[in-house]
Amino acid sequence: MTDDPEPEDRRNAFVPVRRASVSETEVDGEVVLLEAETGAMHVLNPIAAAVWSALDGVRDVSAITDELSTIAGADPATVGADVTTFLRELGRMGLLLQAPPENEPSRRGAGA
Amino acid sequence: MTSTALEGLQSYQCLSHRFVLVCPDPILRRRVTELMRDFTQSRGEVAFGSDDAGSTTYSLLGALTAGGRPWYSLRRDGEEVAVGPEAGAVVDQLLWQISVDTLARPQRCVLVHAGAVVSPAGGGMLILGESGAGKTTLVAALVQDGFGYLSDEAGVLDPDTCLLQPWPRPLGFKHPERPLARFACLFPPPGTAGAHETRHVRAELLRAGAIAAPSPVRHVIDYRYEPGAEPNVLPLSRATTLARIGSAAPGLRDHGQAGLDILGRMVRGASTHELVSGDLERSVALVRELASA
Repeated sequence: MTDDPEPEDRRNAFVPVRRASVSETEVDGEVVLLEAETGAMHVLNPIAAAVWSALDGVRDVSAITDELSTIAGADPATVGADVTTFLRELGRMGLLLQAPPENEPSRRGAGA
Repeated sequence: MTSTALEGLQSYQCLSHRFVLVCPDPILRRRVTELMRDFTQSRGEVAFGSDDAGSTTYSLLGALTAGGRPWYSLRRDGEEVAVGPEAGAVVDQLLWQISVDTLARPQRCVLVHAGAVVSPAGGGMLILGESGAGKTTLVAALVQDGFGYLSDEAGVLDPDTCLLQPWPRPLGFKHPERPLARFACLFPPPGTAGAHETRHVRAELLRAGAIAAPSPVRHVIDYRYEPGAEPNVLPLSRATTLARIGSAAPGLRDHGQAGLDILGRMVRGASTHELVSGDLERSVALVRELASA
């Protein structure tokens, strides 16, 4: 029997990495992204831009959430949920090397 | 080698797109050469049959049918891309094909699918819009009313100077069969032969001295003609405008970060608006207002 981490633990330990093909520029507090493989353009509002700028390819979701919740003076649990949702969206748009793990039923207590 | 053969072959460059035009018919060649002289650089006549490596060859050929009627064809690198009984329609197809091929080639400049004019005050203006949005019509009206002409097809942004460069190809009107009153003199009357085809018109016919010098971009307008729509101008955020510009810049992927930086620099120095209108004359008035603000 292995001790698989809980889905939430795995999400917090996930390290989001931007794709190298994404270029960016800041305009009036918003960030405009160009994904060079598809040519797709995206606009990030200031809050989304703050999350994007925190993606340094080293820190995991937990560390990013700590930083952003401290800056915003907001509840870490709420910020963490928002960050994860946004990272999934970035993953779907092809802007990250890998999307965060999706929600899945816990295997603990499932009778295994 | 005869002089006739030499005269039938001309080498050109349009931005980075090099091409050779084969057109043995002297009357047709004069017509095409006249249309192309504003937006291409003639690289001189080349020897018939010489190999201009890396270039495209367009052949505009005329013949008579068995019934004695004229028949024209356009070939691109040997492949027939247009045929028809009207020389004008095939010439239009040639100019369209040259534009498409130019836009598809890697360029030093960043190209944006847009109209480009210069206000009387000297501010460059990029007019975004989907194909069929009415960019050419708006550009033509503005040029008639004193704006300088850069292009009805592409904003050409020089990455070194951030200036909008002229690419003053003849304006391509898509629906000359229902001309607006202010353009009626430029086209054959409705119902006459060829009246339904796209017609290319040199900017000089709209206004003498219309072609403008390179200019800094001061205004970006995302324009859409919508029949019946009350003219309405709304501010657009610069970031959203930049995303729309990027979506209309087919070669931006190749420019990558440098291209995005130059477009960002451009948009930071510009006013950015969206204009939806069903009335050309009121659109022109609104654009004049924006340009003078």
